[in-house]
Amino acid sequence: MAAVEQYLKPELAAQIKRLDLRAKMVIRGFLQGLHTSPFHGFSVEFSEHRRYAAGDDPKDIDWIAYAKTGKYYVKKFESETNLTGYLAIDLSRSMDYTYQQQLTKLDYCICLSAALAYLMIQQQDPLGLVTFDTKLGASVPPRSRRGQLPTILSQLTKLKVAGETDLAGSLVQLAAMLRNRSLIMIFSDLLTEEDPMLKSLRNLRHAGHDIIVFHVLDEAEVTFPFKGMVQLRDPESGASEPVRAADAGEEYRKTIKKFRSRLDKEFSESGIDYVPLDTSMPYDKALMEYLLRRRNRF
Amino acid sequence: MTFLHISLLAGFAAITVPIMMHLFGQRQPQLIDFPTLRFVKETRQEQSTSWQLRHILLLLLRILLLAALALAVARPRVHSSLINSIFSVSAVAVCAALATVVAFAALAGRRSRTALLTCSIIALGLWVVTFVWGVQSFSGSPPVPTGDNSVPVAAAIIVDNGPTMAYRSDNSLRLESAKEHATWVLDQLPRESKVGVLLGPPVSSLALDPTTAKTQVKLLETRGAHVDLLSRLRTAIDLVLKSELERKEIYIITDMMAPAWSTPQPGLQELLREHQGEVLVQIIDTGIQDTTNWSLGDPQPNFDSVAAGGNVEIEVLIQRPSQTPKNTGVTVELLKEKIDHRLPILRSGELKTAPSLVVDRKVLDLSDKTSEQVTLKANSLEKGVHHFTIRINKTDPLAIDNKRFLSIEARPIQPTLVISDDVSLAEQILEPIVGTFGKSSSGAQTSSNIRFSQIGQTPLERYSLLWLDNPPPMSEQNATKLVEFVEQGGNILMTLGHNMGSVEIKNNALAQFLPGQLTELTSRDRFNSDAFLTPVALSHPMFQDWGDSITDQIWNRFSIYNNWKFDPLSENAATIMQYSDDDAPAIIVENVGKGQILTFTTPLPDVPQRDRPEWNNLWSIDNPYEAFSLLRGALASLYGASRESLNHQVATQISLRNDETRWPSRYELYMPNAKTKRIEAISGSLDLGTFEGVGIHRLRGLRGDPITRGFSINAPAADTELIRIAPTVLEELLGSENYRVASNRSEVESSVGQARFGRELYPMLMLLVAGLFLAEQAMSNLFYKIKFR
Repeated sequence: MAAVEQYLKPELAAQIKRLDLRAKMVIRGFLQGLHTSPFHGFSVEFSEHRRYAAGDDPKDIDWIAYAKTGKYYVKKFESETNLTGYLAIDLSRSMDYTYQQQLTKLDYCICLSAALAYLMIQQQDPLGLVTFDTKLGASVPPRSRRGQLPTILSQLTKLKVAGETDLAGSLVQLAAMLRNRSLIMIFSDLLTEEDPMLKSLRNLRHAGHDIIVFHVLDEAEVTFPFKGMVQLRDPESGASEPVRAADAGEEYRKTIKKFRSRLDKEFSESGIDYVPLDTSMPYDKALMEYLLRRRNRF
Repeated sequence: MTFLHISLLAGFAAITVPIMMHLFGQRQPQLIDFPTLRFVKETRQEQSTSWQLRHILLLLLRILLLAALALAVARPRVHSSLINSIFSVSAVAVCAALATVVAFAALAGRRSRTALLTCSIIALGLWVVTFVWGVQSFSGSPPVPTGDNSVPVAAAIIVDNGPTMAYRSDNSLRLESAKEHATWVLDQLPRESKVGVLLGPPVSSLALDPTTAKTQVKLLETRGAHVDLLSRLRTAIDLVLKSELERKEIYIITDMMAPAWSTPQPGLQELLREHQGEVLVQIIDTGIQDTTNWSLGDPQPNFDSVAAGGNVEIEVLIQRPSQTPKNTGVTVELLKEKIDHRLPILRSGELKTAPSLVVDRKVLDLSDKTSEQVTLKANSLEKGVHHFTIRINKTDPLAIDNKRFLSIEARPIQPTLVISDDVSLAEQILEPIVGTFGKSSSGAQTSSNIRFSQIGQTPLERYSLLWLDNPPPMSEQNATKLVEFVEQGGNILMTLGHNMGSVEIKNNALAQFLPGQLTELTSRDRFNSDAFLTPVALSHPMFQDWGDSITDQIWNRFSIYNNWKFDPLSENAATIMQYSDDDAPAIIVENVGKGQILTFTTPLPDVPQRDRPEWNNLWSIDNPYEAFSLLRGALASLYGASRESLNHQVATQISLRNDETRWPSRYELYMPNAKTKRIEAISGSLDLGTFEGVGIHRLRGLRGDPITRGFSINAPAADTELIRIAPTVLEELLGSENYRVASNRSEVESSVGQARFGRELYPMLMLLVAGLFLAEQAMSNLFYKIKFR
């Protein structure tokens, strides 16, 4: 089992160049891991029936079930069980960063997105893709057909960082674009102005959408592993500061923790799921969050 | 401040290294992309400040470390008097440094402005105090003595040779040990040094070379009384200050007994303080803490002289060691030397004296007390001077106080005849005054009184002294009888008064024994008299009761209204007292034949009477002590007896009366150390000077047959008590920083070395270096882990 869990580790996934294979490997590892989890018996393959009631379309009656049980059951329409999902990926320049990991934040997000896409498409959930930096970028409309996965994976492999982040503006645009209640999975380092971002997310949530924020930071951005005197530079703004790591590390870690705590609190109050991640963490945490979200919805 | 290796001060240049490294040697930090830089920036400000402050502190530590190291290897020396100031300034500097660190911490930790301001002000204040005090100490300090050991020294050596220096410990006398120390000190001095050995006699300059001084030290012996070390120190300071030599040193070698320091010298401490840096005062302590000693106190005879056949009682205190000895029993013996006028003599350099016999003995047990007073008796003393020795049967390290000496004269009885026409005066005043001498000799002084008219019927040869009170004109026969009495060796005290009538009495037979030409009766206004008595012959035996204080008496309290005036005086007459207004003689002594006439030219006592005015008011005050003493002194001098004591202490001036009618005029003095000296009487007295040795001093002369006299000299008991001076008392006397005390050669070497060559700061600086090194290490390693907050 331990060997299976290896597949959930980003460093192993990074060794697989093809994104579709990488996604498949992650999901398989994840699903096999689930058998030993508290979700044992839960199957994404399950198709739901219910007793026939007056008003139901008779053509939906499952005659095979009738033959077996002598009772009328109707198959639930796919649209009722499906969840329209959007993968919203941050393409700001800060996402193209890693200090010692093999995957940048963007790579991590892409891999995670692919895995989720694989999972969702397999469940026949319609899935779309949007990217954003200062504004919304490339988008793939949500579909649940099998052909959607290659489309999304193809789009994901093409993603490149662009410029600075305007998450708030992008979310406003996304909200305008969506018509049905959807599950919006945002992959970002959230290194933008906090208040406008929070406001936009709250607006999006108020519009009835479910939101999962995958807050992805590089491991170095969480642990501050530097030693001695270092000159730190913000890749987006180009500003730099000389820092004595021994002095700044502890304070920095406290600040990051405080930053994440605040986001967690704010999102929790707004009914937004918040998944803090760093690029050293296995993918199952993110996947599990998604599944829990999906189960809670029905 | 001077430096042993001043060139090594160039090491100060090393402080540029950390400064340069600080300015230019810092490594360029590694450039790392970090998207969450804005979170770093939030804490960056205070981190940067504290980091910079710590960096500056570290730089300061490194600079101080290198500076202290450079200073230490240059081996600085300061004058030893400065060392306390350096310690004090250093202590303040440490406080200042701590306050500075706290201020830095407050600044780095963003403490409240009040806290920061308070710390900063305290730190600044302390640094200012350090700077000002340091500059003041160094600028006001004496120059550091030259380190050259061959520079000649102006040295004064004071060796305590008081009685306690005869204490024997470790099979050697303290004095011997003191001499060894003195010799060793002199050996250390360069040949060209100028030395003075202050042993008692006045020393006017430092004229000796060390070798001669050593010879002088070797001849030193203990004396019977304490040495006044403070007075000698004062003299020594004056001597070394007069010297042109740069190095000035005074050595006091003593057993630190309290009596030697008992006479404070006014201004001595100030003088020492003034020349503290210039003159080294080194005390070498040869004493020990734990001593054991039996002692005899000062002997107290009940009479200084007795009549022949009389008895004498002598009280003396016996003291045992403070720590109870095994044997607390002690025997005290009184030995009397037999009177043998043929002795003493010197035979083969040894003094042969008459044998002594034990005349009294007391056995005591001092188990339950530390001291006891005993009374020893000697009875039926025959005529002559008796020498006694009191001794205890104990052997202890200090022998001088185990024996005491005493000389008592047993005199023949000398009857006195008071001749006065005022019988009540004679019986109530004059005879009682004469009777006071009877009290001092248990052989009862006989006296009687007659009127002047009875002289013819009285056998005067039975008396040795006649007191003629206010004599009237007298017959030729009586006058001749009195003159004959005097010429044959009798003495007359004559107080002239109103009974003489007028100047015309000079034609009366009385004039035969008046002391000169009677010229007038001087009368003064009773209410405006400014005449009083003034002593002239201060050393006359009649002033013996007053001693040296005769000139301190306020004689002008007593007015003289009338007196007889003689001009000129007889050839053999001398004035003892005179009148203040016309210098006319008031008391006159005249030698007539073998006798002596002492004349008061105004009556005494002049008891006030209604029918005639007073001639003086000497007797009319409530307590006529002065008049009484004058009469007693006059009688005493005429008796030739007086209350002259034959018992003296060491170093006191000794003068013995020498009645040429009874005693020889030349003597041979035999001292206890078998040395002899020829003594000649001058004006009826033997001026013997002072003596340093204790014991019986015997006089032998010839007046037809050999006659022996003598006197005793003792060490004062207080001077033989083994009580060390308390260090605090010594500090009060000399000032704690003005002298050094050492008890052995190595201590002396160290102490003198420090004084001569100053104090090395090397050990202190190395300590500072070590401290700074540790601080630097802590700062550069551990300190970075400590948060200021």
